[in-house]
Amino acid sequence: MCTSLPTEASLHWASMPALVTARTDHACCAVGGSIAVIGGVKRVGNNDTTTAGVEALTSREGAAFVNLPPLSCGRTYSAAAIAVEVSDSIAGQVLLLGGGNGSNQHLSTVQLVDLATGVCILHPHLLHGRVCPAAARLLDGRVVCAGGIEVGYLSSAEVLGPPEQGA
Amino acid sequence: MAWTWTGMPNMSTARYSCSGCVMSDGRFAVLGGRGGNSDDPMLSCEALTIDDSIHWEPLPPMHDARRNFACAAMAGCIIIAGGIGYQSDEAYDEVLGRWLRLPHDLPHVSWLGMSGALL
Repeated sequence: MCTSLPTEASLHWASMPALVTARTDHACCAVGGSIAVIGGVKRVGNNDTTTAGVEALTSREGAAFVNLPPLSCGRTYSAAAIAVEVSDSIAGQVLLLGGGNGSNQHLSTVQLVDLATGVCILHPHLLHGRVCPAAARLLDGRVVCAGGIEVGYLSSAEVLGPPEQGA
Repeated sequence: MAWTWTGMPNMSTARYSCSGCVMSDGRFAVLGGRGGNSDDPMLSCEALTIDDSIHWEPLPPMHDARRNFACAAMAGCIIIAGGIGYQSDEAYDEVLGRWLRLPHDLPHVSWLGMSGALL
């Protein structure tokens, strides 16, 4: 058994508060002690609609998911979300990588989203449009993003970092 | 100075709806997903090392071929759960280099996938 996990007897699943809006294909990450859920596809009547909606759950006891201001950069689904821990932001910030916009476009955009306001600030584009990529923050703070769908399926990977480290 | 994107070597296969996380040794692990030759969900996993030598190397395959699943790395483990059509969960022990099935399945099976985050 993994040394950092509890013993098998104490491992269990516990239900958590429900989302405000049922959705699929959203981006999700933990930021500033909360879980942020960003964009995705929601059902309206009989139609699936890409949403710019954002909601978050704080880790406070008894907390529920609450709606946050929607993305100023518009609807997005199947993007990757990477937490940006900054002290001067009330609800934290998230880097939103790639995804689709619901109009059949494969986005290469990178948006810095301020969760308290929904304001998106455009950052340097990915080298590829990437819907459904994998992404993570490296231990040195750089951001890595791999795979996804562009015109075809991608095996490529790329790293966002300071120019002097961009080996 | 603004940060910039730099291309890395390609993975061994195209992947989408895969999951990624950074292991305690700093490598970037990418797990499962679709996008291989058959476009079926894949068991395979690989890890990117970024130091003097930048390269991908295989990780052991998962027990279940997952896509759109939840993934989180913590203290020497990668925890994965669910994905489209799967209720099961597994942990990769970075020291043992093995995937272990976890004792309790998710309470529900999803046909639409899921995501996860470590609080």
